[in-house]
Amino acid sequence: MAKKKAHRGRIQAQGGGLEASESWHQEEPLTKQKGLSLLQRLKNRLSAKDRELRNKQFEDAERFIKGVDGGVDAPIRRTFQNYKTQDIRVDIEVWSGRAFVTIIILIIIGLWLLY
Amino acid sequence: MATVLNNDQLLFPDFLDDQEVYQQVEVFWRDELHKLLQNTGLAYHSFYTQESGSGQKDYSGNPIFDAYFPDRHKLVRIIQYLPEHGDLLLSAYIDHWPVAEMEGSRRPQPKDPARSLDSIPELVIALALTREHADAVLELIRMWVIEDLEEEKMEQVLDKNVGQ
Repeated sequence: MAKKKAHRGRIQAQGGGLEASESWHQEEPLTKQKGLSLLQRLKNRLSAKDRELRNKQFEDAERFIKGVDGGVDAPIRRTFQNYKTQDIRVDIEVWSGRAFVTIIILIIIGLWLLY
Repeated sequence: MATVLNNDQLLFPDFLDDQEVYQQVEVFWRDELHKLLQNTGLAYHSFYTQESGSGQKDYSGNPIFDAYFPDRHKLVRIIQYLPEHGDLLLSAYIDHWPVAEMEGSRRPQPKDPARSLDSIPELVIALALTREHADAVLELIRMWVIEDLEEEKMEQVLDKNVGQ
């Protein structure tokens, strides 16, 4: 039987007319490494101007992902907003399952499910 | 909202440095909501996970308070921060939470079951906490939840009154 893709969410750059995102939908919890790579991919997709407006917010989002201890369980939403503006921001949303685990935690979960 | 703030106006200015003060701010918002909703019959519960997988509580103020209202199938999320030079002191917008993407057992239960898979409109407010801003936020929540303004009308209210 196919495993259920129970872990999903999105990292999104919004506000000021922009709506760009990178999402995940997978069988295993999202690792920190993959989360950071999605964040970087999103950043790379933005125009220089949109990136500039969210520089600090991307840094804050990166710090959040790196600082998570033991993963986070859905539902989670963190908004990293440019407070000089009304709504320019980077959002991290965990819709279901778990995200931002370390690879070691992922292995432990895998072994636990196995036995 | 004005971008100049006298330090004396800030309530709980140490909330990011002192976990006891942080908990006082959480109580502040719960009490204010309790007073606002008194005699309305409207219930709410928190929606977002507050702790990491290791049980570590988040003390970032992001969010400091959140609530799901089953009667309205609406969310409110308040983010509190310490302003830096040039920051707006109050901003707000409407966002959405995609319920259909959640695990069935974790989905909120709206009073109207027909709406159980509808995305949840969310009033998101970011502020530097002063008494004046708290009152402005409570007025926005009153319109969003008690008066139950539709999104379009709420957007008009926000455009007119917040972040000018």
